[in-house]
Amino acid sequence: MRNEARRKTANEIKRDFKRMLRDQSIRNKARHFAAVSGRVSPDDLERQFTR
Amino acid sequence: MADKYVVSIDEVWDHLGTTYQAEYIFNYLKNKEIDAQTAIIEEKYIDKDYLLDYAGFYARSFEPIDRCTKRIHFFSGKFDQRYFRNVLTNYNENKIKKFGRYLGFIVLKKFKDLDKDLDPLIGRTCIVPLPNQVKESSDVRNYIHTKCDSNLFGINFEIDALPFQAQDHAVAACATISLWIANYQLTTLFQTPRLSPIEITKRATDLIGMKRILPNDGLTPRQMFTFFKSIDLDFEIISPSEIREVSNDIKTFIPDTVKVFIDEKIPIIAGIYLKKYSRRPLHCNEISNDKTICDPHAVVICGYRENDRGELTALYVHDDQIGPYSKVESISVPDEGFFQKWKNEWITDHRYGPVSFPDEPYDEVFLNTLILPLYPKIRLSYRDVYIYFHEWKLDNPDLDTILHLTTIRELRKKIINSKVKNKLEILRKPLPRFMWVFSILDKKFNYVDVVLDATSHKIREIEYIEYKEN
Repeated sequence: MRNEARRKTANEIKRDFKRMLRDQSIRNKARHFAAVSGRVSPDDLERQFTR
Repeated sequence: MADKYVVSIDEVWDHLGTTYQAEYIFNYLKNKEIDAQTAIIEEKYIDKDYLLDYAGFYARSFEPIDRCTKRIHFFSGKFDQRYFRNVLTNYNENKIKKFGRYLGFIVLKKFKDLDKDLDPLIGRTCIVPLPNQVKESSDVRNYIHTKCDSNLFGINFEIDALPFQAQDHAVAACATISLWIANYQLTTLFQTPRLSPIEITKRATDLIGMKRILPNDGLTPRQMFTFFKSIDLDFEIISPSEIREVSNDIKTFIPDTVKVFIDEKIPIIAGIYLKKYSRRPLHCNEISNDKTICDPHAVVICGYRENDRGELTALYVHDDQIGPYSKVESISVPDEGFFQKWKNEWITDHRYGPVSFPDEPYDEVFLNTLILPLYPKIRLSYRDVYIYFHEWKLDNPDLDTILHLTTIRELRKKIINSKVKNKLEILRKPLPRFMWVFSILDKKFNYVDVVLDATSHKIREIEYIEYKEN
């Protein structure tokens, strides 16, 4: 299986990448990630770096 | 000799004072991979960063404080003062070869302790990082650095380094020093103005905080953003521990992010929480909801070490309390991302413990926030592209994929030096100034670059570049 994957042609990479960029579920996930995930709490934004 | 200014590395100790940072730097320079042998001392050196801090604070203090600093230069070669004097009087470039490799310099601010004895504080320090190739290992190190030059009695020296300095409580705490270190690099990348610590503290505190500005006890993240805004930069702030709410399987977010930004020479400011789990009742001024002391601290991630499988095995940070290129390892905790919890001096050396526990180190170093300074024209944020990077890697585990932020100049330079399908058309094609590029490699051979427009607010691929094997 690993050897098969290594033989992916440039055209297949291009096709798969385009498919990923247009995949609605990944787009939704990316939008959610950019908007919500990793958000810093308001308390942390006001906490002084004192050390 | 009364006026001895060329000394052996061991004799430098007498000049450094008693700070932990001085001890760290001394040991760092003596490390076999750096191997400093000789030092030259400039007794009256005018350092611009310190002079600006002096003018903004110390010039109006009652206590007489020296406005000059002492600068010490380090070399890997062994030579004595007689040889150095001969080089100066009969200058010839060949004679410099005996100096060995120039390893950089430290500036010492001539502060005094309570007994009025000289106890200098480490000022602007530019010393070389450890070599990229790790000794007796296949691991490699990568760093961000900028050109640091110096002129020693008429002889020019230059090294690639990222400047460091310890905090001077009068004008700056860890947050200001992190901004000062980061800004040295940002000046090279994005032409931001070069500023001293007091100038940075004053710009950041345009946003009023809860405490006085000078002496400075520290900045909040919001005040740090105020500073970025004042130098016309934008930023992203991410809390890595909160990422798992959305995708439980992203354990590599911190290593991925470090590689993306350090490879592009962009400094990352890390907000870390130093925690001590108390086994005794706490005083009322200690954060005590769950009997935990939590001291927020800011450092700059300036490098990393990776193994031959591309996995991060260490970070290097400029920590103003420890020293430059201080090594950080990851503590593995099930269900937590790599490098979410750090192992370094804060938890291994009791001297770095909390004030109320003088004989014990902290129990935990928790990476709470990553602050990524960016040029405003880079509108497609790292968060916008990261999930695509993550998904692509999950679906294509046998292809190495590297995410870069690049410029039109860098991309064209890469293309012109490679065998590329439709090379001429791609080189002539107009491209945006900044691009996110997914470099997809097969067996380390660069195969395809997928180019996204980083000046757009949405994901937009603009080119697929196909490379041919040389």
